[in-house]
Amino acid sequence: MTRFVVAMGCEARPVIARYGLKSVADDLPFPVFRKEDRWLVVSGIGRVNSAAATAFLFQLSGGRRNCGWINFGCCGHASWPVGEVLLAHKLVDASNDRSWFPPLAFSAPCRTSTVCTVDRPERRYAVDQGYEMESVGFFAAASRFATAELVHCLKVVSDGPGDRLEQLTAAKITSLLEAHGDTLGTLVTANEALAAELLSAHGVPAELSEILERWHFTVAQERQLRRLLQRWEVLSGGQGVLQNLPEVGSSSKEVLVYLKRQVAREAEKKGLGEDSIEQPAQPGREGE
Amino acid sequence: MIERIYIEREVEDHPRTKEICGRFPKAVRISCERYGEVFNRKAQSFRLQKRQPALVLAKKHGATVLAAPAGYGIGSQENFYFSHMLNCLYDCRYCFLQGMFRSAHYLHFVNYEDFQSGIDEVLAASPRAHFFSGYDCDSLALEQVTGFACEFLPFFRARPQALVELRTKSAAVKPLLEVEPLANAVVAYSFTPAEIAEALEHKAPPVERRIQAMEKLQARGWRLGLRFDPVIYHPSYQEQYRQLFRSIFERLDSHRLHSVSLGPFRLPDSFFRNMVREFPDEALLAGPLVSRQGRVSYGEELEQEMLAFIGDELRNYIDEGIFFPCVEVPASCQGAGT
Ligand code: SF4
Repeated sequence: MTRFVVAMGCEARPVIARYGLKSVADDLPFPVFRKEDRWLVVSGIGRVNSAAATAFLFQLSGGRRNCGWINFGCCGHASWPVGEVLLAHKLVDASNDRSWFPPLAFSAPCRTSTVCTVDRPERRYAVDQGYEMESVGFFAAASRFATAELVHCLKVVSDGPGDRLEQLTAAKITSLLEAHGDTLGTLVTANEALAAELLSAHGVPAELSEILERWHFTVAQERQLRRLLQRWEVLSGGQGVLQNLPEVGSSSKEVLVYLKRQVAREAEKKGLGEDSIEQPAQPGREGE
Repeated sequence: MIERIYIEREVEDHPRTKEICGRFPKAVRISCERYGEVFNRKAQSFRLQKRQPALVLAKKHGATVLAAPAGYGIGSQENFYFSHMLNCLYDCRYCFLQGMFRSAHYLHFVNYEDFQSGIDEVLAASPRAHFFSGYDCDSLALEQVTGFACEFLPFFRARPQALVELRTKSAAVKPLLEVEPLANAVVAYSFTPAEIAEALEHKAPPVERRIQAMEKLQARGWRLGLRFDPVIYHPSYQEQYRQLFRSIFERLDSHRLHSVSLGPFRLPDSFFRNMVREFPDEALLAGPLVSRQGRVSYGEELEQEMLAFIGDELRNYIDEGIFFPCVEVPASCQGAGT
């Protein structure tokens, strides 16, 4: 469950090879590659392209929230040697000095650094940090689709002060990135473990879709239904509730009343307390 | 333990910042303008951050000391709290911090001097005020990082009419054992029965170790408090609490206790909603709780039954004069429950 966003084809190549990704179709606005639940989009250079490609990939890959998002590519750095890899702990937008701080909920697989997104290749390297052209656009877009702990920028230093960018060939970039395939792999594994934790905690209750097919629920009722089914699953240890539902009548209200009773009964059975279950309604998750 | 330290530019040169950074030479330092850029931003997950919180060093602006809500206290009418830190090393599933913040980072305000001025201002008008320090954190759990007790105990020693409560579950009491006990400080330990603590108080020292820490502190002459807040239901809660009280009172001299308090499990509705959003798979939150008057708690009958039973049991061990059972306090004044 990872979504990769890279700027150029030469940055995509090591990821495609490592994860066995295949092109999805020829006629898309951005080249997209995929294998199972790992997707990659080639955005083109610049923050706007990166944000647009991120949003595009989110939709194309099913619009699922809280997948891992990784922006992988090369960058310049004021002091780090070419070939060193970094994970961004702070992103700075050079156009307005705004900052973002990708929270790391795991031990970083490599050194971390500030990365500054600029609109033109950096020549001055005035501050000791990384410089590239996409991260801010990527992060701002991806953190609308996933909690920020799952959104990361991994960069390999490809140049620095005094280097001539013309000498930086596609092949050189690919080989620099290839050399850090294992670092990428560690990051992907850690990020996917976090995403899996959220998925298992927030997963759609097993019987939700079947109930929604059989009865019509308003948006507010659907929220209630979702939470009641979650509570039922937690309290009953994952037992099904559906087999008894046909007896409850034809309205969605009756289904909710029935479920409330079942949850209360289960709680009582577990000795969790009295038959009183009026918890406050859950609003929708942010962004839903 | 701490891999990253975010530092507000304004406190970069503060001596306490330097001291703390010196303790974690390997931690990566990341500068920010205001802690709000890092802490409690939208699209953050308390649950995920709790796996590896970072330290945020910042300056507390505005009021540093606040009046505690009516009904909060251990014998004084003038109760105040201050929070040198937001969030906690431990991870109790009933703790309201996880409903109050989106971030689990430890946000530490280094400008102790402003907290101390704030306390002095309060004392100018209310010389016998009580001050609570474990409201948005555990007072001692991160002592190694903050040096909070080391800094504030001498401060309160010089203000003997005031009283300060350090509320904690920490068993690391060496800094307290190394100094002369204060007559105007209460080290208050909170407890749930061992089975509940094991299930819900993740990363906190087990009940037994807390009791051991209290024994040492009492032997050294510290004044101690007991906090049974929140009370958590279990079908065997009566036996569990009886057992807990036996374990505590056969080891501690109840006549030398400063205070004992008792309070129900309660949360503001909005915090509860946030907690369910983070931990929909937590049985405590899936259980039979009710929302009334803006707070979520056990049903009234069950709540009263538990408080009455536990209160009666406690009275077998302690004098009524040091017992502060819950008066009806708003959920927002529960404190973190530490
Ligand atoms: S209840 Fe107290 S000890 Fe537990 S996490 Fe909250 S502040 Fe920390």
